[in-house]
Amino acid sequence: MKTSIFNSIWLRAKNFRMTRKVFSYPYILFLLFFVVIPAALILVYAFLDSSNNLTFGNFISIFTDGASLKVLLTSLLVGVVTTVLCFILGYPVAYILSRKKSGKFMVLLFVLPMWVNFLIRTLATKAIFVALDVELGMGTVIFGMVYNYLPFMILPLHTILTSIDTSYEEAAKDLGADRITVFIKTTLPLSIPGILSGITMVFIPTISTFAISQLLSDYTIFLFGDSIHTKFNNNLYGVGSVMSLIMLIFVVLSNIVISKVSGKQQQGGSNLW
Amino acid sequence: MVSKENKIIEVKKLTKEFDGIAAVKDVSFSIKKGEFVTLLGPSGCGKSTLLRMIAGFEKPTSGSIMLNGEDITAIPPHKRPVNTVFQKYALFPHLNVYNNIAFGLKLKEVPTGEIITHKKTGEKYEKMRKLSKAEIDQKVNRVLKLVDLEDYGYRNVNSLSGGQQQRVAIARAIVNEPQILLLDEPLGALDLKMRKDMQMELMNMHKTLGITFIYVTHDQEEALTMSDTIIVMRHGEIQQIGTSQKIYDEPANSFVADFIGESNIFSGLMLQDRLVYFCEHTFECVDTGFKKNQPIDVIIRPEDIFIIKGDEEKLSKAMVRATVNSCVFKGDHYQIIAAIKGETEVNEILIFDNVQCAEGEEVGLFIKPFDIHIMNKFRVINEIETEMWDEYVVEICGGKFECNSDLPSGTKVRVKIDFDDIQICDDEEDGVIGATVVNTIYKGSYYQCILRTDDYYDFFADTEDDWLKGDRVGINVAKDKIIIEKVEESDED
Repeated sequence: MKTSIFNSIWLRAKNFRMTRKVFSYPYILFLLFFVVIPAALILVYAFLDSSNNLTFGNFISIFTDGASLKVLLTSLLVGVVTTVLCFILGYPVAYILSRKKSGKFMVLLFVLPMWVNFLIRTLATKAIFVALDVELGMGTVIFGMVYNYLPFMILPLHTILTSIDTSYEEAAKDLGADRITVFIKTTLPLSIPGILSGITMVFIPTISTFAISQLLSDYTIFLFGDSIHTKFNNNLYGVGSVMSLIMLIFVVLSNIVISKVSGKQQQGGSNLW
Repeated sequence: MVSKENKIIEVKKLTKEFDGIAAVKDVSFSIKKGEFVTLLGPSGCGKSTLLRMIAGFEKPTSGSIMLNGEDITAIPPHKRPVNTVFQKYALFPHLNVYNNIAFGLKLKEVPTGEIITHKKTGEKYEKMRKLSKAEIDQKVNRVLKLVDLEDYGYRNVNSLSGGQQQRVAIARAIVNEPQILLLDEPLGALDLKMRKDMQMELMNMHKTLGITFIYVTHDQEEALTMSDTIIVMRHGEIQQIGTSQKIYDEPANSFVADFIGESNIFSGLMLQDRLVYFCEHTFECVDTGFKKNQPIDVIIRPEDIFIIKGDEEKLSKAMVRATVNSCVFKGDHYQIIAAIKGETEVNEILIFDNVQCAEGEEVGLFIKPFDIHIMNKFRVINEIETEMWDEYVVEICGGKFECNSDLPSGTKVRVKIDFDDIQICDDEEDGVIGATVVNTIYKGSYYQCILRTDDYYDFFADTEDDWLKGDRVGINVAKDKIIIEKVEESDED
């Protein structure tokens, strides 16, 4: 009897093979504990009131509360403005750096601030604004957002711009396009996958972030991320969960829109990030 | 002589350097209107750089390019009336076939015929306009028909096969009606069958369109098939310009002979006019004007050698006797390798003939005097101008070689080393200097290698072994074999 158990274990151990599948186990476990289960918990909490009874009250209170909707709208607005500013600032930088031999190193310089913890960075930015006697408000919040998320715009843009084969530009020149036409008719359309990645990388974190808005507006501007943070801090798990779900829906929606657009693009560089 | 009006393009003393290293060296040639010209050479010979300079993508370091008698050297590519078919097609992936072809037409401006006088300056100029949608449509459809892709206008370019993409690339270039069409190895990415078909189509297109074609390729067969004129290049210099026939039958030097088709190359001596000595035999030839006993290269095409079989009486009439080493059937002929045995050396010779031979069989060879091509040797000895590093040590290409000269350090000297005194070693570390093998030519009984050092000096070396092109090797020279001559300061200038 003893030997047969021993044998079966032995057989199993012998049959265990290091297939490629095995390497995915740690990540699947991680995904389960830190993504799937928390998401399920949020879904459950959204339908529970403070005494753990089933209710739709959390949803009703959010959609009838003008303040919450206003916060949501402000968040989306800040997200759009930040993304547009990051694009306007980031594209020329990425374009110029992609033409330079030292471009890789320069990109590193742009990414370097990311090595400092973002709270410390934001606090330092705030200190500078205070020292310069700049009034903290929407302007400073957007500055902080752009400052924090600009590298996420530059990186994918730089990657795509350096990967575009120079022969496309040469072909356009050859067919009679001057420098501006070459840019508008070839470089810009060919860099669309990078632009979309950049937008995803900036827009989604901006609408969900917290702390930056609080610190740089002296707690006068609340974004969606901030209010989720407060709700959970005040033990309002139900309302907080509903807000998290709304956030999740926005993230999923923007991802779907972006992948639709890049799907139409076909080729021209696979999806970065 | 080509009349001046007939020349569409003229390249004068064109040089292009990348980081101080010349890719194209002092190249001059001219092309007649409507000609099909091929730039032929191995990779890295500067043929693509030359084409890119004509297209305007590279700025020449010196020299000029004239188009219809006008200097276009400084004109940017988008203003040149030439169009390019790129090596990897470079079709815009974000546009469909139709829009790829219409790209150039949408940017084009044509004169309306209306003359306007400028209000302030009083200058007269012709009013320009963009092409109308209907005109573009008509032109695009015409070329789509020409390249046999009529129903493909709205297809995505990435959904096309290599051959179809190639046709789109050609259509995109010719729709602009350029004066010259530049083609940069356009068939390189296609399989053999496809390539043969496209060759024919390109030749037909050249005939129907009447545009001048400048075609770049490393494929000698492609060049021989398609071109009116071939320009053979090597190391950035032109080796020979001529018709396909002329380049094949009368190669200018052993490089051209080796590069174009198969050939036997032997080192020999010119005994006197019309008499040459190689493979330890004396042959009649038709060349004159060489010095007595001048070392030369002899080139014989394998199909120009005839095999004589039979009894002793027949064999005695042959020019040379040889022993067959191998005989392989190649479809329309036999490829025979035979050895000509002399007193001191054995030379191998390649023969294409339609008689079958047995291995080890003794045969006679016959070569018409007309088919023995005599060529000046490119170089008879390696010669380098350098300085003494110290007494008994000379610096050659950055390495320090021991020698027998006691000239003091810093003396300018001319170093000479015979081809067969250069020892090549497998390991770069074992040599005094390292070098890359850039070429090897089989010369019947030995190989002649060209070794390029990191200083871009080319050593010629005769060896027993076949060294692989592109390999890194080390170079050694025995100290007795280094011949050193002092350079007088006076003859420096």
